[in-house]
Amino acid sequence: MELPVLDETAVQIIATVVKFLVVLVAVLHIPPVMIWVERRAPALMQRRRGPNRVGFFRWRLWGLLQTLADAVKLIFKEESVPGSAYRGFFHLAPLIGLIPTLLFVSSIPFGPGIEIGGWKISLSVIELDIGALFILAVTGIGVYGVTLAGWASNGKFSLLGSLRASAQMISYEIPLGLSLIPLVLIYGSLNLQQLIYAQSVVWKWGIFLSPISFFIFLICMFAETNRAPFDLSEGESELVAGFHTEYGSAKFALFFLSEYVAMFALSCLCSVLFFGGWQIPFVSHALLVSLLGVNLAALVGVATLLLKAAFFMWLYVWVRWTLPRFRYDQLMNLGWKFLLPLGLANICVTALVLAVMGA
Amino acid sequence: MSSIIPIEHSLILAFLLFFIGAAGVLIRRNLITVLMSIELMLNSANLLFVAASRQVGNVDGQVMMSFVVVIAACEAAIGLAMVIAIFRRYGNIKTEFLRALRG
Amino acid sequence: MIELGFFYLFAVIALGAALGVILLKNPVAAAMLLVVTLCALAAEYVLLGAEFSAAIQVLVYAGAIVILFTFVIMLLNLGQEEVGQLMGVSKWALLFSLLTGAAIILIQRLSVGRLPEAALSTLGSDNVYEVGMALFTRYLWPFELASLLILLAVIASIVIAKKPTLPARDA
Repeated sequence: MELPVLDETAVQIIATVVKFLVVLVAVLHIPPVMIWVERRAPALMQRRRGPNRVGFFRWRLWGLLQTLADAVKLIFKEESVPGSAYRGFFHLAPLIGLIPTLLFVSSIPFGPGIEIGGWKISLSVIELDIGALFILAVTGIGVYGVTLAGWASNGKFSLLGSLRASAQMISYEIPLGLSLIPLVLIYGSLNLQQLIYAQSVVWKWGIFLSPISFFIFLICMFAETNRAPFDLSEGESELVAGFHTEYGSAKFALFFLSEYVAMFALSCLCSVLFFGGWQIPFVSHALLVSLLGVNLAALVGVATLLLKAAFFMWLYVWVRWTLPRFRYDQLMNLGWKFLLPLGLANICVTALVLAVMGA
Repeated sequence: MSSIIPIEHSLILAFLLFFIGAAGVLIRRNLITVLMSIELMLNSANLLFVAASRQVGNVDGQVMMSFVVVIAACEAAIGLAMVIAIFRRYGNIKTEFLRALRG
Repeated sequence: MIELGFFYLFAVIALGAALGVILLKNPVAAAMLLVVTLCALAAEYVLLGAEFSAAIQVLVYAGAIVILFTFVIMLLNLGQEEVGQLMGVSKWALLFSLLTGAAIILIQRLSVGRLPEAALSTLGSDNVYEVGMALFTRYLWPFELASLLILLAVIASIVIAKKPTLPARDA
């Protein structure tokens, strides 16, 4: 049998499907590992052991299998739907929350392009010229999962949690968007891959050229994912579990998944925008290509980006176990009265400096 | 994006959307739904702008579309603020209660 | 041809969802369908070669405006409208809108053939750049006015929605 000749479109479609599947499977592995980190890390900080029992006979593997056991438990738990819930939306909400985060991850360039059989394939699932705008749009849609979950549960804790979450997420989207604009001004592109190429040298990294953007972005990163110290939408001491109070079993696992995927995506975005993406500091990509060839160099790039992202994932855990939770008015004041003016001033100053330097 | 989508198609879609939006304003008595129907009508205008921009071959239509989005945002903000004020005053947001200005 | 197929697909989605927006009794469901309509329209914009407009559409409309709607619906805890509470004048309204629709379609039919020919080549590939250039050169003053309008709207909505500090006189 003769293989049909592939043309450019067919190759790109196949590549996109394969890339998406790879990302999907990879992303599914984040929560188990992160939950393990999130239990062992505070144990480390608080001088206790953390989960370390689950394992085979003598091999305990530092409790790594604990999360596997938890996952099995979650999936086989009985599902319960509150009698007063709006059923359709109650079932849909976890999925609606997950899809935007998956789209977000899909738009991140994980590495430089690779070449298979002469076809050039980029390492982001969907490479867009308006990547940064796309990401803002997608984070905007991401609010619906949380909002709907709380509303559809039809209970007071859930509703309060989702009201808090939606107000918080729209409030912090604005500084998030504002923090991206100086970078777009400096590097002159909305395409994330182009942004990475523009940061080829360490002193051209976003964090050095626009440190205030990084500061704002970092705070918004925590607020957008509803993580401590901004986890008011869950706030277990006030709202039981906030918007996912009524969720159990596999749907709860889906919320967990989307939270961690969002964390991962934002960590990757942070590395892409401010830390040179997949580029190793002080090692130029051209050198790497000449040493290892295109494909291996791309793999090294992917590993570098993942390493950088891993640091921010660790930062999430670190901050969570270090800072106490904000009060709600403090959160809103920080967003609207501090970050918003700061972001606007940052844009003005950046634009002025660029104009002066250009003149 | 090489193939052409005839502008008549966009026109018909926009007209239908406007029609649905106008019908929503007329038949619904829930103030929020009325506001949403207005958004539908604004969107049909947007679609026309974008389609026309494509047809004429410059970006003026898309610029207009972004102005319409700005106006829609203002309209939604003020409209919803009024909805909240009305709810405080009357306890519901049905349009037939809003007769204070009727002579 | 594929583009045309997608155009029809998203057109059907947009129209169906729009019908849902005006016919459903549950306001949150209506808001969600509005999001579907807006996203389908964004897809149409992409098909029409206006990526920037599509991004703005999803970012501002779906991401902010409809969230505001949902927020208010949840804040006021609006229940379902009672059955049969469509307007008493609904028959007249329906007739009127049907007539309007018929008139619009008639006008559209008459206009076919008098529209300018499509000029495709002048639209460049860098859509965002072109829109940005137009916004900040030719349309600079409208742009500034629009930002003033937004500021006004923000202030106005705060003033309107603020809890009255004095009891209403004739409540």
